[in-house]
Amino acid sequence: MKNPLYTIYGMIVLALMGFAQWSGFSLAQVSEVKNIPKSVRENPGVYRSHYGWLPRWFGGK
Amino acid sequence: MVAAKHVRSLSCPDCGGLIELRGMQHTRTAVCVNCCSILDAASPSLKVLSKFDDKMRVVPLIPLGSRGRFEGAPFEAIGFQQRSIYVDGGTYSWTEYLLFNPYRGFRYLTMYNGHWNYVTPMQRLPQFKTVTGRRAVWLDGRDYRHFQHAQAATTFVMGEFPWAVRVGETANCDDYVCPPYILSSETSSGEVNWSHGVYMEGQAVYDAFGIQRQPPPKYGVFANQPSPYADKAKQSWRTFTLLLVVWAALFGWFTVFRMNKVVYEGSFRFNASELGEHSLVTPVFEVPGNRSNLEVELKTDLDNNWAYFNLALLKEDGSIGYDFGREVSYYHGYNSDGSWTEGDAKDSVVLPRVEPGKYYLRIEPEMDAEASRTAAAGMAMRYDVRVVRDVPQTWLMWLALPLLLIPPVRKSIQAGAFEGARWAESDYSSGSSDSGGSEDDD
Repeated sequence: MKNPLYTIYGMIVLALMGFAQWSGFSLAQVSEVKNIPKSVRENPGVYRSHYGWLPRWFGGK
Repeated sequence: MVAAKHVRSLSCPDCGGLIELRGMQHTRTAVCVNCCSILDAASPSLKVLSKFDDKMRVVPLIPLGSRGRFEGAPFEAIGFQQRSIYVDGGTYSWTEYLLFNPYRGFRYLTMYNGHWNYVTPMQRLPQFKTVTGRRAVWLDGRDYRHFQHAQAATTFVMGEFPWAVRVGETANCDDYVCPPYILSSETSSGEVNWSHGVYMEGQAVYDAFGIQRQPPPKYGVFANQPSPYADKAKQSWRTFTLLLVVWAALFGWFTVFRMNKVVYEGSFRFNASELGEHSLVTPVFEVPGNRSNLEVELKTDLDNNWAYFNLALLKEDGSIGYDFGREVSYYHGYNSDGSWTEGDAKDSVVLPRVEPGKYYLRIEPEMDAEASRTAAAGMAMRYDVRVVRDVPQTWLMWLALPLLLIPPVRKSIQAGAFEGARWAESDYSSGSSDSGGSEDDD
């Protein structure tokens, strides 16, 4: 192995990217929430989205 | 070893200083180290031929009479000369040491700016050819590219030489390089002499002579100096090729062996102008497999309108949920530049690392009355939701590629810069007045 450092570096890059890929890594902004009220299924309005407050873009020219 | 009996001691007829001749019958000219007189060693009376100005005196780094081992044989330094060329308005000088072994003959050690070459006179001629449009010679399976043509003048000599040394003696020199080798031709008085040199580190030269001092430091890149980057760059590209194979295998695995399974599909209608609760939940669906990604796709019939979706993927048992929002907008029209479109009526998001289990989606769309004023459907839309488990995603693998390319590209740039520095000193550099090489010396 004439390029041990590069080989190690390359394998680390591939391992990291491979693991991230395998585990389903995504840059999507998602909040994990715990202990969701079971009543949401019967009454969806009781759930308040964490994203409800975000500024909106109204689009168009 | 060279026997001491081979050393002939004489007195300089000019200053009376001791002159030791080690080159035996080969010596034709000797230079007194004391007064710099050039003496005819072939004449019994050591006739004074000419004299160097003492102001021109150069002290050799390797003392004359020193013995060093090269090619497994002892060689004695018997002569020393400084030669100079005038190129592009500047004078460049280098030194040459004449080495002698009675069984091997003569060799030379040349030194310029800390760069050394071990030079052997050649008894045969290389073949002339052209490589990439430039002059070159071929010898022993190697192409030597023309590097420089110059007229070299002898500016100082010391010791003894197997030729008639003259002050200011000139020769037309051409160098051809194939690192670490160099072929040089010297033409003077109609005679052409070829020599073959190999680059040596200064420390190796000093070690050969047993000199304890540090050799002079190297400056710049010499014509035939081996590039420290060329092999590393090649090795890096070979390693990159191997890594690319691993990358391709992983890429294939992540692309082909994905579950990519649709776990939920549903169609809905939304009218923001209707009163009441606008949020809804989907039926429970199974998300199989290991902890992996989950894609939620939204497809709407929005036309010159936008909608915002508050979305939550919630586990049936309430233990965990993934809360996120997506905006979908699609506008189009005409103006003075022609038709235009903006946005897309569909959107998707990939949720990372979603653990398996039973889930449902809570969907809460929003539309704005002001924004919907120009839309044909007003504040209403139809939309489809599709949930796909373990979708193939390759952007991370594509991201790995430039990261893998960094080392070989860096090495290649370094190798290119080194070669650039090498050829900047040649006749073929952009700033050289002799760019393109001369053809008149062949």
